[in-house]
Amino acid sequence: LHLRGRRIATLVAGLAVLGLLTWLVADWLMNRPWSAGSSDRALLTRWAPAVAAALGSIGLAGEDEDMERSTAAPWRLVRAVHMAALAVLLAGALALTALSEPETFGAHVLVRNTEGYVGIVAAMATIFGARLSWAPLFALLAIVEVAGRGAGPASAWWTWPAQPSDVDAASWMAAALFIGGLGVYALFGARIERHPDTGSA
Amino acid sequence: MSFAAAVRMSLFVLAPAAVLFGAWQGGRERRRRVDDQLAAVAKPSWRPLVVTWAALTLGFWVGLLVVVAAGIAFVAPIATYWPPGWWAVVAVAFVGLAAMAAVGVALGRMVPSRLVGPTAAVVFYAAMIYAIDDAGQLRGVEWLAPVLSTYDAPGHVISGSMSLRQTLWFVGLVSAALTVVGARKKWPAVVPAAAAAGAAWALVAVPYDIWQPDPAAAEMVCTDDTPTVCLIRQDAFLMDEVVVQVQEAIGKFEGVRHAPDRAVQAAWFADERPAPGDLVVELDGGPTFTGGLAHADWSQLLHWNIGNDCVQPATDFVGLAEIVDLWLNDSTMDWHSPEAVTMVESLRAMPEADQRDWIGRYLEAATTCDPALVELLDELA
Repeated sequence: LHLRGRRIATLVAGLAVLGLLTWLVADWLMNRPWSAGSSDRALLTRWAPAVAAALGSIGLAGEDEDMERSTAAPWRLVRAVHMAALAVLLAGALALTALSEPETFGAHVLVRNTEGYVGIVAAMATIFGARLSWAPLFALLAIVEVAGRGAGPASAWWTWPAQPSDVDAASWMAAALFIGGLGVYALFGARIERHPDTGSA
Repeated sequence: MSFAAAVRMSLFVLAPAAVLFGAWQGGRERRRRVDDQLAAVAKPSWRPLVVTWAALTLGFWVGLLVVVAAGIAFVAPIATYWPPGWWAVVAVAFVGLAAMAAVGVALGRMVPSRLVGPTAAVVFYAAMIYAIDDAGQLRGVEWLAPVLSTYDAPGHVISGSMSLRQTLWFVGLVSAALTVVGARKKWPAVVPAAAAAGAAWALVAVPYDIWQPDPAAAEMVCTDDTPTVCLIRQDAFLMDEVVVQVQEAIGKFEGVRHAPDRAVQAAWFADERPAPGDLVVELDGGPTFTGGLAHADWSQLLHWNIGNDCVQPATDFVGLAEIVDLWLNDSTMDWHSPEAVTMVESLRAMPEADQRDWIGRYLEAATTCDPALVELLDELA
């Protein structure tokens, strides 16, 4: 019932399409005559996880959060397990698309960025609600894209999505964001959104 | 054409943003649950759609105008050349943004998901990036994107007919997208769709050399004084700063026979190249944000173009040119081979007068590719 309420079927279908597209694009990038190897996938490793995290955001709140929370279920634990399982599912699916030459900008970065993004989206869901939780992530990525592409490891604290796999600081940053997001989301859950006309959630 | 191309390149951010916000606005009625009410109103269904698109487009045009105005404010006071048709290339940016907004609105109206905006934005962003990075290798498909790569822009222009084809493509796209999702009868969309398809075919069928060389931009502009400094017309706004650095470099040759008295810019698209014996001006670093010279000092800006054209034995002659280049440019030791660095240190260890004598003999021999050049190497061994 929980899975159905969180529209997991939609998520899985969307993830399958995303995974297939990511694999096709990654394959095309790696096999172009002028391909420079896995670094050609850098753009893909920044944005495919962002779409995946946005896709995951649809299940961060139920259809009627007020009613759900009134039930005697250990919601903090449920939310923590939901988010952890979501991160594993998204990261695992995307990692499968870049297993050839997984270093530099491959499976490793896809997993790292997916974990970090899921953490951000989950944390933002507690502030903006699940519907708009992807927006701050996209704003951050837009800034990284314009100002942080090609930045060195010294700026990894904010350009971590654009760093290659061997930059430890980027991995630590993503891990911290994931753990932080997990904690905040498990504690508070998504902000309850009310319809402007009816006042219902 | 660099300025106009830079404006178009800014669309790699603005175009996906237009798609994102267009999709968000396009799905607004459905999210607010007023789409059924609006459908019941006895007014044409395209009106609210066109108003949404027009408001969004206007907002993005204001954003782009800020980009253009800021660029012109920096460029206009110092520019020494405006290529023909630059304004048409900039104008296409506005039409392209309108098309991206229309595509976004149509997607938002057609796809009932709040994720259509971010997903479409990512797809369009990736398309823009590859249209820039892989320009020339995409069989002309890159010309369908509103962005333009700046890499090929220096010294080149885009014809007015090309800008016209892009305008037709984007206008057709706007009309077709809005008609398909806004009008009750869909068939009129065939007309703009056919126009867009025709323009798209005309764009894709064009070979990549659509970038036409602009001889006026690459024409050399020279000073009348000695030493003579020649820069291409489009970079001539840097002349005063380059002259100062050339004079400083030429000062190193004081008392040397056959010393260079001319510095000429080497631009990849210019027909006129530096002649043997000229100091070569490299402006690869480009100007700074405010239009100053990017290179901090002449050792990064200038190198010596003598001896490199000698045929036999080529490697030794090139080695010689490298040594003299190093002697001229004190601060570039890191780039060179250890042998060359050792030899230039031997040269610098000589008394000042001997250094000038050695350089003078080198210049004399290099002018005629005299094999005696090789013997000069032995003196430094």
